[in-house]
Amino acid sequence: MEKTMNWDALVEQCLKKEKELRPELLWLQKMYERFCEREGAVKKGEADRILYQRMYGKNPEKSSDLLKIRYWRTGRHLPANREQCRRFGEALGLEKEEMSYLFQGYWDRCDRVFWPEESEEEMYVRRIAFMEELIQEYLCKIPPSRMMDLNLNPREIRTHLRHLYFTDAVRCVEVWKKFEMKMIRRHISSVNYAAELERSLKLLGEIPRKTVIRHLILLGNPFVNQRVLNEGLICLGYLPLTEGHTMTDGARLDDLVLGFLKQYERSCRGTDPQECAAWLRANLRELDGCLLRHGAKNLRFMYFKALKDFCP
Amino acid sequence: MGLREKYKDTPAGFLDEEQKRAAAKQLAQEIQQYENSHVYRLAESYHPKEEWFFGRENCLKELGAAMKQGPVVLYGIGGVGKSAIAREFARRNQGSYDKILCLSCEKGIQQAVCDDMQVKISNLRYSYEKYGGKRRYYREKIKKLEEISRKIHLLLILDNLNVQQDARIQEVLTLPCDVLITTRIQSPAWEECQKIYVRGFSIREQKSLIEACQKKFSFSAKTQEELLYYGAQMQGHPLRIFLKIRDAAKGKTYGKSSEDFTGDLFSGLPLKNSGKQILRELSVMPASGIPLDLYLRISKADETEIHKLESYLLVNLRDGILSLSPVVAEAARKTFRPSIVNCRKLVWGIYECVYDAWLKPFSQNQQMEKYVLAILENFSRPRGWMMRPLEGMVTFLWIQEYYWEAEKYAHKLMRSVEREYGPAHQNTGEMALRVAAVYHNSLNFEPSWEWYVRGYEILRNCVPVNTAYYHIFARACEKMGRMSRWKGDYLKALEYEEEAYQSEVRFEQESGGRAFYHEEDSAVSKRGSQLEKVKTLLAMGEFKEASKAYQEIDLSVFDHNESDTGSWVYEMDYRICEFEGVWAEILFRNGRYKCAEEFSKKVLERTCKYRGNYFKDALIAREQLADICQAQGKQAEAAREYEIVLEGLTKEHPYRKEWIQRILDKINEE
Repeated sequence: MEKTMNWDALVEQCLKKEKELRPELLWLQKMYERFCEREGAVKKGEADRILYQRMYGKNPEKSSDLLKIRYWRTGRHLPANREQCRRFGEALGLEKEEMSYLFQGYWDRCDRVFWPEESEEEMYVRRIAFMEELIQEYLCKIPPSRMMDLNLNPREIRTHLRHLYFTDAVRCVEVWKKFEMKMIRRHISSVNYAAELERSLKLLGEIPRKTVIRHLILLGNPFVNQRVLNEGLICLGYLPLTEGHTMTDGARLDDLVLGFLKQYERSCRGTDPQECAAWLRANLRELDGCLLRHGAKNLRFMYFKALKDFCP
Repeated sequence: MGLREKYKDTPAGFLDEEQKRAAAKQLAQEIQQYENSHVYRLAESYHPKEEWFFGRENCLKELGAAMKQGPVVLYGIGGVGKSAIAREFARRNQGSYDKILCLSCEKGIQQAVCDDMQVKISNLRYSYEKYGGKRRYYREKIKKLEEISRKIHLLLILDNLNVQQDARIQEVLTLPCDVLITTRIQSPAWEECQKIYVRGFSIREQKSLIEACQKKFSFSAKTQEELLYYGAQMQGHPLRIFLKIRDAAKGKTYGKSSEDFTGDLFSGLPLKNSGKQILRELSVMPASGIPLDLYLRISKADETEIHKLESYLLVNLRDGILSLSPVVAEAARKTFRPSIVNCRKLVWGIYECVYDAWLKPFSQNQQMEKYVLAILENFSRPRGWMMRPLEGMVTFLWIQEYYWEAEKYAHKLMRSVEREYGPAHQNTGEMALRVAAVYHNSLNFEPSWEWYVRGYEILRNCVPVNTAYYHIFARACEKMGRMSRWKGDYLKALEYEEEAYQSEVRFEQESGGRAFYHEEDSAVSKRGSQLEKVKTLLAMGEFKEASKAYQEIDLSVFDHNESDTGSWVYEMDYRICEFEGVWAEILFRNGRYKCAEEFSKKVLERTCKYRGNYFKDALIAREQLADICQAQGKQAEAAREYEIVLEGLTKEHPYRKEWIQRILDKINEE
C-alpha cells in the first residue's frame, strides 16, 4: 500500500475552479430575481430599497446604505453577521428550506447558533449528544502507549481530550519546524487554545464549517467517509459535503475533501484500522503541504491558528 | 470491533463477515493472552503426602478449632513435632482449601515470600532491574498474595519462624487467609494469635507408641519398660523417643541420657565417613531440602548410605526431597563442621549444574538459586584456589539478577584470589573480568569499565600459566573492544577486536581447540571475535564492509543434526542467535528487508524460547523485527511488535527509561 500520494492534481483542479463564479451566488441571484418579479420591481435599485425597508423597517437615509445589499447580491461581500443574513433572507421572502440553504450554503455556516443559556433546547441537546458520542469513540481508540508518551493518566482520559486532540491535529499538518513533545506540552496548556477548542466541541457560538469538518475527520479517524462526514455535518446543522459547493471566498473545500476521501477509500478499503489511520495522517499532512506550496492557505482544513507556533 | 462494525462502509470497517470473524478471533486471543500475562495466581499448591504420624489427636482437634478463629501459632522446643503436626493438619484438611502454601521461614518471612520457588505467583517474579532490592519486591508480592487470598481459600503455613522480631509478621497475620505458624520462640508478635503449646507425648501416647512399635520390632518387656522410662525422662520428646526406639530396634542398649542432645543424635550409630559427609553437606543446604536426584548428581553420594541415614531418622526423604530437621542440621553443623574445603565436592557439583545457566531458561535456573545462595552464605570466606566453581556461581547469580549478592561475593572472591596468586597473575586478571561482568550486567557501566581495564592490564602483563591464557586474554580484548565501540572510538575497537581474534587463533593452535572449564571452545570464540568486528563496522555505518566481514565468518561450527541432543545443542542453538541477529541488522541496513525479516523472526523465536518473552535479548530482537516491518510499511505489524516490547519493558525493565521513550517515539512516529 502506497504510503503518501501526490495531491498536486487534486489541489490544482480545486484552485482552477475557484476562479469560477460561486454557484451559491448564482442561486442568490435567482432568489433576488424572483423577489424582483414578486415585488414588481423593474430596477435593481428599487428592489434594493424594498429589501432595505423590509430588513430595517425604515427607508435608507443615504444611498450608501444600499451599497451593502448590492454587494451581497453581486458577491463582493457577504452579510457581516447572522442577524443581517437572517433579515436579508426574510426580506427576500425565502421559504424555510431556502433559509437553511442561505445559512448553510450561501453563508457556509451552521443553520443555528447556540449560546450557553440555550443549552437545554432540544435541538442543542440532540447535537451535543452526537458530539459527545463522537468524542467517546475517539477516546476509546487511544492506545495506552500514547497516554504514557504524553505522561497522561489513562483514568482521566476525558480531561486530557485537548492534549490528545492537539497532538493528533499537529500530525496532520505540514510541520515546518520539527517540533518536540515538550514544546507541545508547554503549548497545549495555553488558555486561548483550550478555550477555543472547548467552545467548538461544545457547539457554542459561531463555528466555521471548516472547523467542524476537521473535528469530524480527527475524531472519526480512521472510520471516515463521505457518508459518515455528511451524517455528522447534517446532524450538527451544516451543509453536507456537496460537489461544487464553495466557501464564502469561493474556495472549493468540498471538492477537495471529497477527492481526498475517494482516494482514501481506494487506497485503504479492507485494511487494518491502524494502517488506515496512519495513511490518513500521513496523507492529510502531505495534502496540507501541497496546499501550502500552492499558496492555498484558505483550503488548509486541518490547520488552525493554535498550531501557528509550529507551522508556517 | 464495535467501531469497525458500526462504520463498516468506511475503509477501516469490516470488509465482509469473514474479516469480522477473523478480527473477533484475534481479539479473543489477545484478550486471553492479556489475561494470562496479567492475572496473578498461585501457580502451585503444597500437597503433603502420607507419612507415618502418631498420636496428637487432641492437638489436631484443638488446632482445627483454633484455625476457625484466626492465625494460630504452634510453639514448642525443637524436635517436639510442630512441623509434623502442621503437615498432618494440611494433609487432613487439604480438601477444604483451594491452595496451601508451606514456607520454610528460617531466614525470616521476607526471604521466604520473595523466594519465587516457594511462593510461585504467575506473572510475578523477582528482577533486580525492576525492583532493585527484595524489599520492594516483597511489598508487591504480599499485595498480590492478599488479592489472591481474597479470591480463594488459602492456608498459609509459616514453618520454623524462629525469629524474635520480624517486621513482616503483622502483614502476614492480617492476610485474609488461614495462617499457621510453627516456631520455637515465644514472641510478643504472637499476642494476637492463638497459641498452642506443643508438648511431648503424654504418658498414654508414649505407651501406645511403644505398643505399636512392639508389634513391629518385638521388643522385650524390659526394653519396653526402659523405653517408657526414657520417654518419661525426656518428657515425651518425640524426636528423642523415636531415636531411642530406633536404637532399640537395632538391638542397641543405652545408658544414661546425655545432657548434650547433639551427642545423643549421632552416638551409637555406625556412621561411615560417607554418611557423615552427607550430613555435613545437607547441613549447609536450605532447610526446605534438596531433591534427592539432584543431590546424588552433585555430591556423587551413595544412595544406600542416604537410605541408611533415613532409617536412623537423621535425614528426611519426603516426596523425593532430602532434608534434615533443624535440630539435626544444627547438630550436624556442630559435630561435622562443614567448610569449603571438606565440602568442595558439593561446591564443584553445584557449579557443574549452573555453569551453563545462560543457555537455560530463567525459570529452569530458578530451581538452583537457593542452593547456590546457601553455598555462598555458608562459605562466606572463599579460597582463591576454589576460584573456578565460585566465580561460576557468581556468574549464575547475576544471570538470575541477584546483582547485589553477586557483587558482594565477587569482591570477596577477588580479594581471596589476589591473596592466593598475587596481583599480577592470570587468575587475578580473569577474576577482575568476572567482577567487571557483574557490574556490566547490573548496568553499572563506570565501575565495570574500570574493572575490565584492570583485568585487561593484568592479563596483558602477566605470564601465561597455561594455554587457557590466550582464550581469557581474547575475552578481555573483546570487552575492551566493546567498550571502545560504545564510546565511539571505532578504530580502537577494531584494534582490540583484531587482538582478540589473534589471541583466539593462538589458543586454538596451542591447545588444540578445546577450552578449559566449560568455556566455549575456541572455534566458537574465534567467530565471536569476528562478530565483534562486524558490530563495530555496523556502528561505523560501513554496512557493505560489515556484510563482507560477516560473510567471512564460517558458521558451520554451529551446525548440528535434528537428532542431536544435549546441552551442546542448546549452546549452538542459542549462540547462533547473536550471529543471526547481527546478520539481520546488516540485511536491514543494506535495504534487504524481506531477508532481514526472516532472520529477525528466527532470532526472536529462539531468544524467546531460551530466555522468555520479556528478557532483554528477546525485547531487542523484537524491536529489530518491528523496525524492519516499519521500514517495509507494515505499520500494523510494526505497531504490534512495538507494543509488545513496550509492555515487556514497562513490566520487567521499568527503569530503562531511554529505551522506553525510544519505543514510544517509534510507536507515535508515522
